[in-house]
Amino acid sequence: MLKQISGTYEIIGKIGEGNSGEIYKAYNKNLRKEVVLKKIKTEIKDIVNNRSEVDVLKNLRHSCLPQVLDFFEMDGDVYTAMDYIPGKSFKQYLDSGTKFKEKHVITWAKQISATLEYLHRQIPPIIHSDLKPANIMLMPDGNICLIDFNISASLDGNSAWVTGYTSGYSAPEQIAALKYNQNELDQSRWKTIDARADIYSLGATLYHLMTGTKPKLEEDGTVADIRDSGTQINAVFAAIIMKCLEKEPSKRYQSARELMADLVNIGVKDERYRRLIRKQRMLYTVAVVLMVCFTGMAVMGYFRMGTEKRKAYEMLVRKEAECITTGDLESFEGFFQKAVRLDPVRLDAYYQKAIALNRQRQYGDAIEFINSEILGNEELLAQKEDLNNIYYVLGNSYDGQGDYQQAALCYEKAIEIRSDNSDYYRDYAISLAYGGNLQGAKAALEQAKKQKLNSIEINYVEGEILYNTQDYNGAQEIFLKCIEDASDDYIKMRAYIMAGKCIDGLGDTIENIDQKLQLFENARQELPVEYNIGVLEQLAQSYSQLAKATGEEGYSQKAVSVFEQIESQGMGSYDTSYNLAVLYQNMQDYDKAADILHRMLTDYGDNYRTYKSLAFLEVARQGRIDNSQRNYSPFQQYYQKAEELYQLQLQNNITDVEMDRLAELYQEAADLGWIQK
Amino acid sequence: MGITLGTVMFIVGIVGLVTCLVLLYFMPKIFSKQKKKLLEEIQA
Repeated sequence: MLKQISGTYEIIGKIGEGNSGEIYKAYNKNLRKEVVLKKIKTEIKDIVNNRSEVDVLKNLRHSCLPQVLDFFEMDGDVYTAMDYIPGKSFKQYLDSGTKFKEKHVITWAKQISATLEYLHRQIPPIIHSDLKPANIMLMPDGNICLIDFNISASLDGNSAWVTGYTSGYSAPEQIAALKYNQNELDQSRWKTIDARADIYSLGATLYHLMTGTKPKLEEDGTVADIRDSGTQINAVFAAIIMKCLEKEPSKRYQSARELMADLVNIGVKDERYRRLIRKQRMLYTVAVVLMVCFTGMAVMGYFRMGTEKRKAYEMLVRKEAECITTGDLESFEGFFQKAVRLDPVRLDAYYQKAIALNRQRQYGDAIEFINSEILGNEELLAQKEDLNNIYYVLGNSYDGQGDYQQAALCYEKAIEIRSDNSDYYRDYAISLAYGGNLQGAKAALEQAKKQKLNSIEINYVEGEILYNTQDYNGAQEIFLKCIEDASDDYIKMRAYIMAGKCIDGLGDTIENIDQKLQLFENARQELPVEYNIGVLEQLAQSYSQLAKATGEEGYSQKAVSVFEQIESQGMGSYDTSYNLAVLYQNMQDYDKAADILHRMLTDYGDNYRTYKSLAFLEVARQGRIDNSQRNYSPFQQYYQKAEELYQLQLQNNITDVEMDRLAELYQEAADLGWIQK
Repeated sequence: MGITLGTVMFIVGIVGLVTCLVLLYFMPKIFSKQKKKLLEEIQA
């Protein structure tokens, strides 16, 4: 046994016998560390003597390879010196019956693959050619180290000389090559092995580590399937091992890199993992599809909301119009508020309200509403193209108040926006005529004719112009013709009223009043509810006049019934109630008259006229009581209230001769001691 | 105007969309953890 080599190495002891020869553990005095000395086989030492190839091995640097330190010759033998690797070989563990966990074997398989890949990509490639459990060390840190790779098998292009084999671990082609080469004298014809032989050996090693036994060869040279060995093994890892152990090199992994790729992806190729991936992809797809569906739903919902809002708004506006027809003002206000809340920038609801105020003859309210809520609203005012109807209603309101100049201005604005509406021209011409501008009225009429205004309406306007020139007979004739020819109820209504005014213009005779009665009774029968309000008022006034002229109570009762019809249609105003109270008073139904007057205070608030009527009513009532029973205190209260309110409104310079008469009655009562001032 | 079909569709659509966006945001992280856990189980 060697004791010392070349003065550098001090032999510590023999640690084994390799295929190549003895293996010693030694101490390198220069490097001051333990090394392994291994004698190389005699048959190949000539090859090894080529220093350039040896230098390749000395330059190998890998965490799973022992550092090759030196080659030297001594006593005719060639030795290699390498790092000493602590730990035990896998063979030692296997021989002691150790069972390895699959996850550890996979980790070592990756390390060995990486190491083989490193060796195989050297230039020239280095083939281990003797990979087996005995040549793989398990170091104390849990990592592996490949030892004893047969350096002689490394030195010729991509293939290597075959110098030996280990049964059970060497590839079939390695065994066949060795047997052939042993009988072949011509070295140039020797067979070689490549990296795939190492792949086979690794497969066999892994097989042994997993099952505890070397791979069993079948008769056809293939290896018995590891899955049939009874060992619990991951299906993917089993497939990898069996692919390494393919008899044909072309069917194995073609490189350690390829093998490594599959080892790294064991988990990924596992059926459980694939199932999880499929499930996750499906869930993701479902989430994306749902997202698209919900987006679609939100978009559709958004547009549908717009449609529903529009329909709801239009329904509310229709309800408003119905309420105007039926006179249901309370419901009207509710619908109006809802519509405006729903869409504050649409004109339709506001327009209906303006119409409602106008129809109720609340002209002042209508004017204020239009000017402040519509024309004073920037967003509504911006909708200029739609304001023609608003200006028209405003014009009608001014017309109702008798402010024909303002009415004409409004009609003019309506015409500016919409120049093809005959109603606008008609009422424009009429307001000009009423305002005394007959030239303007005629000019407007000519414009209307150019716009091809309906001939009946033209006649009507001509009648209005004649009326304003006080040609009552001529005007009456035209209006009666209009009544006969007109199909438009609105024109008919206006023609009836104007015909009535023409009769007034001809004098207050009983015959004329009777003629007016006939006219308006016809109108009452002919006109629909929404257009008969003006006519009913004229009819009630005519009955009142006739009652006054003839003294017949029957006419008063007819007047009362007409006023009550007006109120029941929801078109009653202050004047309607006032006239009704006066009629009841004339009919000496003082209680009913008082009821109406007190209701007026509630409906229309304090008004000197109401208190004035209450005072007159009280005087009339007391006049029918015995002197001893009379009580003028209510009269005093009503008078004082009327006087107070009258004085306030005198700032507007509207004098009332009836208040003077009431003051006289008050003084008389005071003088007679009925009241204390 | 009360709760209409359009309003319900819009609200449900928005809520569903937001929910899906949140899910799609967190799904990769959850899936990654699941994959990692399974790989560890497989390799155990």
